[in-house]
Amino acid sequence: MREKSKGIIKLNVQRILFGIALLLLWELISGEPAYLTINLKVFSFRIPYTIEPFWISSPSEIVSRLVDLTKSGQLTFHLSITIFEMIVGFIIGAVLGILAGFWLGRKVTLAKIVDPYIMAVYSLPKIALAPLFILWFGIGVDMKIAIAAIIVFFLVFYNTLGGVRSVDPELVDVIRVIGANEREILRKVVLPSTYPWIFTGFKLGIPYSLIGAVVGELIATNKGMGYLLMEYSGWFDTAGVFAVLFVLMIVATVLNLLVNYAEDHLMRWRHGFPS
Amino acid sequence: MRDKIVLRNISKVFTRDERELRALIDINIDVKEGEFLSIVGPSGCGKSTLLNIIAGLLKPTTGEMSLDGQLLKGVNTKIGYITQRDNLLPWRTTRQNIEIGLEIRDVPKSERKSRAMAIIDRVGLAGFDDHFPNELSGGMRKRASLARTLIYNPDVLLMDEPFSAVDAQTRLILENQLLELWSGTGNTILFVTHDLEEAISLSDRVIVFSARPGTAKAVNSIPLSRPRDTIKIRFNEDFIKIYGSIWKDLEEEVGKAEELKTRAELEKARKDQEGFRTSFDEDTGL
Repeated sequence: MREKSKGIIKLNVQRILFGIALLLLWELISGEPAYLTINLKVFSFRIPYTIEPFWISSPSEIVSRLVDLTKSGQLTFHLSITIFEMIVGFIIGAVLGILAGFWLGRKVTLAKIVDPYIMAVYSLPKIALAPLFILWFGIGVDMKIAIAAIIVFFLVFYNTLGGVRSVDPELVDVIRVIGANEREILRKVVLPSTYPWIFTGFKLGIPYSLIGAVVGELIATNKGMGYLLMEYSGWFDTAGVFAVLFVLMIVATVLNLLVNYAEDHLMRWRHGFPS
Repeated sequence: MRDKIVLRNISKVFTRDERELRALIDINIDVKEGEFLSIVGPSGCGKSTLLNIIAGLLKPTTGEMSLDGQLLKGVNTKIGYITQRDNLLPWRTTRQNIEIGLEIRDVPKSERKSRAMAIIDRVGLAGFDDHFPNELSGGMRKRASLARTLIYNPDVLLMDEPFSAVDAQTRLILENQLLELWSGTGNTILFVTHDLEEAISLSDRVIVFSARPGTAKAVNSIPLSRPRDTIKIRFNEDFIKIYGSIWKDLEEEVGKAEELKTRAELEKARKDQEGFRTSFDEDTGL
């Protein structure tokens, strides 16, 4: 056990050092044009060892932009809007996805009839629906919620459907002989068997809901992180663009960590013997 | 002794792709109250089908059956059914799995827990009540599935090759444990196996099933005294004699079953060559 935690500490130290090295390198190569001249007897050539900050900005610039954004309250404002869109979109998509998945999962004939149609809509790149959603919902928060929701819907729907269909019929039989009625079978066998499937849908859906919200903001902007991105890009402010990307990266990473943590705790029964 | 379960002219024909598969023909069995009755037969002889019919999970094509003199229809919730697979719910701990029968019967939580803990102790799972099935060995899962059935005291137990999936040593221990748990309860057990030694060492009577279509070929009484030790009894002279006489019946059926299997495989190979595969598109449909 101690050996193991030592190994983890060592790994984390190595990871942090690697990150620092990357940032240092980034900081160093960002600057006004400078060249390393190599003189050979026959000819000489110059190797550029910097890249103009216009293209890649620099970590220090990005940090100062982040500080400004935070101080002015802009970051909180735009970030909270994006997260709001994402969460509401996720919840709507997930709830509808679970309900539809359960419903169709138990209507075998109906599912067979509508399957090609659902598949057709599913195959559509969801972002292509954005113009339609602008017509329906305007360019406000609603439209981003709708994009996030429809992406999440399909992910959760297909996973739930798969889960309902893969319920072990023998488990159902055994519980039926023990005396369960249909409602109890649904609650005690079917529902819990689908949890891992639904969870997989959630796991895929969470990062996609962020994508949906941000892409929606990029398409028709008035506020949110996507709006900030477009603004900075319009001002040719590379540091600002990177600052927004950095925040989105942090948000996505935190979400992933939360999902993994939840999975470890809720799905304990899926791991075998702790050998 | 009173008849607990009476089966009259039960047969079962499966129809798939307009082809008929006769699984059981004309089964007439009386299971006496309190007896341990085993059915042995070659694999594929319809033993499991028969148990599924008694449990009410399958409808017989013809015939009828009764339990305690009452005609059986629909799912039979008065019996306990222990299947080949342990069929524990993987998201429930041992204790929660064992409690499910009481949950369904609306037994209050505190009573559920105390009864579950008592039976966990009896089947030798003390200390594992909080483990998930994934964290138990095959033998432990088998005990848990036995406990899940025993906890609600069904007076008839149907057991479908319950120990076939565990290793030989564990199996002997589980067999003895089963006899211990059963003795003195007055419960009726209908036990299906393809292992003749197992059948003789556990049972009061052994019915030999023929190869498909399955039918009861011979009924043998096992006049060995109880309590038995399922390990030591195998060295008993009477045991060996009984084994010898029943084996003659069984051997012939095993031979036929092998032949059926070979023929089915040959036919399948032939069809595959013709590029024609039969597919069974089954809707479980819940």
